[in-house]
Amino acid sequence: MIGIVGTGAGFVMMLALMMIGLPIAVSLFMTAVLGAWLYLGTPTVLSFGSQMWSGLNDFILTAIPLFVLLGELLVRSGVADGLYRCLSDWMRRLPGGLLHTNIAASSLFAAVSGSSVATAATIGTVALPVLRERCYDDKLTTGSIAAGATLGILIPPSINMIIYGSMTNTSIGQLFAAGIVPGLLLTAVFMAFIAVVSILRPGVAGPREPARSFVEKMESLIDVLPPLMIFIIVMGAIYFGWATPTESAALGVVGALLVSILKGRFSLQMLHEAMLATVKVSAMILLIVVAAQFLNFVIGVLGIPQALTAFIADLGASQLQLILILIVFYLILGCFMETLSMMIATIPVVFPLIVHLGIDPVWFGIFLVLMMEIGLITPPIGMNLYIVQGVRGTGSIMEVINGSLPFVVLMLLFVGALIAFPEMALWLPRLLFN
Amino acid sequence: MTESPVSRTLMPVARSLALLAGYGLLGLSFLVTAEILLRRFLNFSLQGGDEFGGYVLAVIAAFGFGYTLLERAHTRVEIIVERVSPGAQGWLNLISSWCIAGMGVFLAWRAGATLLESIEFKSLSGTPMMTPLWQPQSLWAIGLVFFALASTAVAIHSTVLIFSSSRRLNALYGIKMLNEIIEEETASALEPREAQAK
Repeated sequence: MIGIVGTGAGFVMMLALMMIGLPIAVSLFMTAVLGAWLYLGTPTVLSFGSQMWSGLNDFILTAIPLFVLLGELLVRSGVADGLYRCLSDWMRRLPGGLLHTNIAASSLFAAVSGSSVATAATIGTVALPVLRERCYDDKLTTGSIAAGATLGILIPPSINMIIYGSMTNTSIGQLFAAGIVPGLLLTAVFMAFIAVVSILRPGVAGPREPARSFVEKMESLIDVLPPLMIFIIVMGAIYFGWATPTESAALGVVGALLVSILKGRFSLQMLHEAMLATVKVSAMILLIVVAAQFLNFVIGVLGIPQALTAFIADLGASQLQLILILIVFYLILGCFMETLSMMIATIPVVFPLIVHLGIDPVWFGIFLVLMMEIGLITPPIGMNLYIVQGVRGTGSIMEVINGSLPFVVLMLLFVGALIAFPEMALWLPRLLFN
Repeated sequence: MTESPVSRTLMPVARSLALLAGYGLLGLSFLVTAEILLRRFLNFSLQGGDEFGGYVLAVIAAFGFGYTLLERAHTRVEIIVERVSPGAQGWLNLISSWCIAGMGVFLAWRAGATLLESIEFKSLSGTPMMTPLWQPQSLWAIGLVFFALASTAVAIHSTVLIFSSSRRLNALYGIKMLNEIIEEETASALEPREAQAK
């Protein structure tokens, strides 16, 4: 079998292949094939075909393209503008004004679209011109959009959680439930931070907006209704036991189709564009998943999980120590790897350690998603930072980075809170599933 | 944006395959929705949605890989690639294109072998529907063969370009620039707004 040194060499090789610009999937695939060929012989390499078939012919993973299509259809029904308008009507009187709208709109939009990058780009495009016109502080504006857009992978439905659940045999329904409380809390933490900064330094927010009348506010709620209804239907179907996560995603697709028809946005061209975007995103994810499944298999047969757990056991690391090591590990890795790829590539190695030390898999899933959120806004690979800067088009990227920094600190503190109070994540799934 | 000759030739096929997979997904959504409603309200169990769903996923992957390749959407890490000279960048893009072509050919080869095995042993799915596995697997293998062809075509064209123009190679087959990504992401969400403004 293979020892710690061989494992380390394999991991370094995989990172090196990624660094020279090979697609992530190809890097995982080549590492897996090389490991299988060197240590297990050609028949294992050739078994890849049937492995790939059973890996892809999987109803749980079918939730990925379904949720992507659901998001694409809703996004193309023009919900982004309505969402932003409605939230700004409701939140404009809070200290910090429209900055709260950034956070709230981002988290809602991201929950629907499931993509942080799409959220940062879309909300950025809607919000930045408005906020610039009203002289909001650049750093806080860009930071709130970049950070707010990361909330989507924590608030269900989350594609990251589906992949984590499928790779580790963890209940996706429980993972979804576990994300709700931390997702709402983190949103509240971000908004509290903005309120405090706005009170301490009154210059950061623009002029106080006139309040909207109650009737206007109620009218604008209509714009939020469709995405909210679909969210409730999808989640409700899972929790009342009517449907599995994949089935309720299918229900959501039909719902989103109805919304687009009711809003008069439906056309054959729109449907085709949504389909093409869905296939593109799904195939991108699935090629990585296919490669990771094979790597997972090879790693398992090679006994790497056992070698690593023995290694950790020798070190006598406690749960807390392992988690702290993993925080540093993911912070470093997040500096140069795209987050979803980072999660998929590390699960085969990290998850056995978690199980070995008796850490709850559902809790760990939430922890992992939080670390990925942080990765999305830490330079140099923090995709959201570049997207927001790209949409802004002026000034220096440093403003966006500095603006996001307080949010990174808040998220790290939040991870600390999650470690101290695991019930934050585990309370709701226990309530719903036991 | 300049379009490569490979993309111009193969894109119509790639798009058609992707759209077929998209319609499969849409069909699955209706089937499963019907299943849920019938089960819930009429206590009637329609079967096969989950099995069909698994096949749809395999087909989306296989039909989508080639389309995603031509759209340059397979995730790559740009941290080093974007910091080296255009010449070196060209070589990195060339290596990358040959590696993904290698993977594509391997996938198609092994999928073909799996399909032939299913035909030889007349394998059936282990479900009540007892679907002959060669049926969904043929679609899957066809998609992967297209991926192999497309990725090899890109690799060959990259090889030709490395000797003529690295810049063109980087523009056609390099990692997508940020503004291209933003354009794509916002176009879908905000198009309706501009239409409204008019």
